[in-house]
Amino acid sequence: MITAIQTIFNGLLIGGVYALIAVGLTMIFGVLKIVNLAQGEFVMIGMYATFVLFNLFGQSATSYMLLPLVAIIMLALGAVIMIVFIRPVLGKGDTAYILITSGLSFVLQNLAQGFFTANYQFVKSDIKTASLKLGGIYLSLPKVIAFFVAVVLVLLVSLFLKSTDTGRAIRSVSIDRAVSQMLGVNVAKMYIIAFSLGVMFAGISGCLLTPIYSIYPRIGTVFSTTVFAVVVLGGLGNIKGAFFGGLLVGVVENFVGTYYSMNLAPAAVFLLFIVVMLLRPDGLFAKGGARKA
Amino acid sequence: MNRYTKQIGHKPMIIAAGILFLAYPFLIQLFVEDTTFLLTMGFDICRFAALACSWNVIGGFGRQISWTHSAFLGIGAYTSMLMFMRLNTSPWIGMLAGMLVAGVLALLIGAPTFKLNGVFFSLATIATCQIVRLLLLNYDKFTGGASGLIPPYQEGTHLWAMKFDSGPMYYYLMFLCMVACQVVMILVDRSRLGYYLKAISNDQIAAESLGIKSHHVKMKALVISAMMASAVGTIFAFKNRFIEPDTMVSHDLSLRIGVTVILGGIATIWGPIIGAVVLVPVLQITYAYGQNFFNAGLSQILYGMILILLVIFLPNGLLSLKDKFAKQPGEKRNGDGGELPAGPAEHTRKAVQKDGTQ
Amino acid sequence: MSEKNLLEIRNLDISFGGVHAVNHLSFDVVEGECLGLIGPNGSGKSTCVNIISGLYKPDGGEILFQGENVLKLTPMDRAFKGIGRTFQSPKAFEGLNVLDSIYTASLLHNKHKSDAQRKTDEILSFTGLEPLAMTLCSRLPIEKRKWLDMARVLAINPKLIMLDECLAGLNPSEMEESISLVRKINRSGVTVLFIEHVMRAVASLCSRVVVLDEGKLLSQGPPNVIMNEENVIAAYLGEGYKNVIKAREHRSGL
Repeated sequence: MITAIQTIFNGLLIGGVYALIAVGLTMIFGVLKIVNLAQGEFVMIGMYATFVLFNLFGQSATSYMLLPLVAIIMLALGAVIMIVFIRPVLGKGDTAYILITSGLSFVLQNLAQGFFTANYQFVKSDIKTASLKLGGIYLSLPKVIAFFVAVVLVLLVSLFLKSTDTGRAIRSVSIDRAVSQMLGVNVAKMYIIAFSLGVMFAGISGCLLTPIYSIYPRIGTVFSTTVFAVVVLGGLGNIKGAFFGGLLVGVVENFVGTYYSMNLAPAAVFLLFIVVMLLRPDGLFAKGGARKA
Repeated sequence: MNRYTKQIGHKPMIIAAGILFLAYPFLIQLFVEDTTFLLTMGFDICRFAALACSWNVIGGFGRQISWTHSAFLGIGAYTSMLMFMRLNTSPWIGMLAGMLVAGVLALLIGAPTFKLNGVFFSLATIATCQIVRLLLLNYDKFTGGASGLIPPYQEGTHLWAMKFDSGPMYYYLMFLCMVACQVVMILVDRSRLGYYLKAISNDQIAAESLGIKSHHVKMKALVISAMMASAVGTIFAFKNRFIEPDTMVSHDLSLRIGVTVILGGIATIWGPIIGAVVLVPVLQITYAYGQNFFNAGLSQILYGMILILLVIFLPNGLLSLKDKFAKQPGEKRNGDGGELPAGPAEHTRKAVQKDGTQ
Repeated sequence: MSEKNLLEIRNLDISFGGVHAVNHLSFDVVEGECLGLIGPNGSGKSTCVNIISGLYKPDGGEILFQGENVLKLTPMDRAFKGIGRTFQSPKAFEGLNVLDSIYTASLLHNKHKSDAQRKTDEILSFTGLEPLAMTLCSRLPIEKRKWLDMARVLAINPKLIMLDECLAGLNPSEMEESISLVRKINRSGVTVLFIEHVMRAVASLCSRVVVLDEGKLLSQGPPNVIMNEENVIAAYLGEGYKNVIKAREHRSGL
C-alpha cells in the first residue's frame, strides 16, 4: 500500500518538474503557437549557466541563490534567439518552426558539448539527497522546492496573462495577429516579450533542476517530447492546465514505470498524448467553449 | 506525348548521374587507397535518397509532414533480421515480409494520426516513432532489446543471406533499391493517387467536394511510403549485420529523412536524391574530419545551421534555385508548389478535423 | 412535360450555438431549372448549401436527391451521386495549374485516362479557360478562379451544381461573362442552384427564385413576381429596388 502512495507522490513530484518546464513551453507553444522543439535545450542552457556561475563564485553560492542571475541571462538569451532565429520565419508555418527549432537544438547541444565536453557535470548541492518525511512517504526536497516554484510561477504567469495590459496584449496577439496590430498592439514587441519569458522560465527550471539531474549536453532530450505532451494535455495557452497536465503525466509515467516497465513509461505518456489530441483537442482541462484556439 | 504527360526532367543529366552512380565504387579507387569510408558514404547517399523518395510520397505529394518514418525502416530491419535468425528465412523473403508488416504499421499509425491537423499531426508522428522504438526496446526477449541483434557470422559471399564479401556489392544493392524507390515515387506522381494526393494537400475540403476520399488516399500513400522505407531498412540491417532500437528507430533519423527531402525540394521528382547527395557527404565528411574540433560537435552544429539557413533563406529547397534562371517561372508541370506547408491557417488550431467542418 | 424534382429539402434545421441558422426549411429544385436562392446575409443560404453538399450535419430534416435520402452520405459520396458545388471564396488548388486541377476531378470520374483527358479538354474550351490551361492557379485573378471552381466541378459530371455567390467581387464586364457561363452550364442540362445578391443576374438566369430570411422560407416564385412582393422588399431588396424595377420595365418597354 505504501508503495502505491509513494509512487503517486513520486509521480506528482516529477510531474511538478514537468509542469515547471511546461510553463515556459506554454508561453511559446501554447500562447505564441510557435512549435519549439528546443525547449529542452533552453533548460539545458539554464543548467549550464547555473554550473558556470556556481564555479565562478567559487562554489560558495547555492543554485537557488543564483536563480535571479540565471533568469536575467536567459531572458536576454531568449530575446536574442527570437530576434535572430524565430522572427525571420514567423508566419511561415509549423514545419518551418519545427525545422528551425530542431536546428537550434542541434546547434545548442553541440555548442554545449564543444565548451563543456559530453561528460556529466554537477552543481554541488547540500540538499541533493535530502528528503521530507510525510507519514511513511519520503519526498525528495529538491523536487518539493521545484514543485512549489512551479506552483508560484503558474499563478504569477496566469495573473500576468489575465490581469496586466502586456499579458492581455500577448493573448490577443496569439488569438489574432492582424486584428491585434490594427488595434494598436505592438505585435513584434509582444512576441519578443512572450518568447523571452518562455526561455527565461526554461532557464529557471534548469537552475532548479541542478540538484536533481546531472548536467550533460543531451539532457534536454529527456524532457522535450514529454513536455510537449504536457502542454497539449493541458490545453494550448492554458497555464493552469499545463500544471495539472504535468502532474498527470508525472503520475502516469511513474506508475507505468514502477509497475510495468521503465521503458514503456514514456510510451504510455505518448499514447495518452495521441488519445487526448484525438478526443479532446482543446486539452483535458479546457474551460468550456470560450477558448477555441 | 501530350500536355498531360509529365516530363521527367533533363534526360542527359539523368543518364550522366546514373553513370556516375554506377561508376562510383571504381572512381573512388582513383582517389583513395582505403575505400571503406567513401564506399560507406556512397551506400548512405543511396540509403537516404531511397528513404527520401519514400517520405516524399506522403510528406511531399500529400504534404503530411510525418516524423515517424524511421519506425518503418526499423520494422523492415527487425522483421527480416528476426526471421533470418529465428526462422532461417532468407532476407530477400524477409524484406517482403517486412514490407507487409510495415504496411500494417502504417495503417495503425495513419488511422488515428490522419484525423489530426497540421502541427498536431506532426507531433503525433513524433510520438508514434518513439512508441515503436520503446516497444522494440522493451520486449527484449523477442527483439534483443538494447543489446541488439547480431546474426551468426558467415564467411564469404552468401547471396541468399544477403551477405557479400565486397563493399561495392552492398553499395550496388542499395543503389538498385534507390532506383526502385525513385521509380515508384515517379509512378505515384503520375498516377491517379498522385493527383488526388496533391489535390488534398492543396485544399482538402475542395478535394472532398469533388469526391476525393481523402482518408483512403492518405492511407494508401502512407502504406506505399512505409513499404519503401521498410525495404531500405532490410538492406541496411544486413549490411551492418547488427541492429538495435536506438539507431534503427530514432527521432533524429526521422527528422533527417524529412530534412533531406525539404533540402532538395519538397514534392519535386529529383529533390530527394539531390538532398541526399548534398546532405550526406557534408555531414559525414565533417563528422570524420571534425573529430578534433569542438569535441566532435562540428558536424551536428553544421547540420543545425543548415536547417536554420534552409528555413530562412531557401524554404523551397535547392531545386528552387533553378527557377531563378528559368525562362518561364511559375509554369511548373509537376504541380511543384514547393513551399513548406503552412498547414491550416495559423490561428485555427482545431486539432481534429471532423468531416470537413471547420 | 413532367417536371421531376431533382432535389427536395424537407424541414431542414440547423443551429450554431444558439443561432437557428436554418429553420424548418423546405423547398424543391426541379430538374433542369436554374433556381435562384436569395436573401439577406445570414439568412442561411450558404449554410443550406453546406448542408446539401455534406459539410454540415443538420439537426433535423431530410434531403432527397433523385428520390434518395442522402443525409447519411459523406460529401465524397454525394459528389459521386451528382451533387456539385462551388465555394463563396474560391478554393483553388494553389500549387497546381488549371489543367491539372480539372484533370484531377476528371480522373476521379472517368475509368480511362484518355476519356478524362478528352473531358478536361472539352471543359477547358467550354468554360473559356483553354488559354490559361498551363497557368498556376495561384496566379489566377479572381474571375478566373471562380470559373475554375465551376470548371472543376463540371468535371465530376454533376446533375446539380450549387453556385455560391459566384459573381461576388467581379467588375461589370466580368459579371457579364460569368452570367453567360452560368447560362451555358444550365442550358447544357445541368440543374443550377444559384445563390446570388446581384438581382440582375438572378432575374436574367433564373426561372424561379426562393427567398430566405433568418433561416426560414420567406417566399418563392418567378423572379418578376418575387421582386415585387412587399415582404421580400422589406426584408431584403429595399424600397429603392422598386424604382430599379420600374426603370427596367420602362426601358424594356413593358
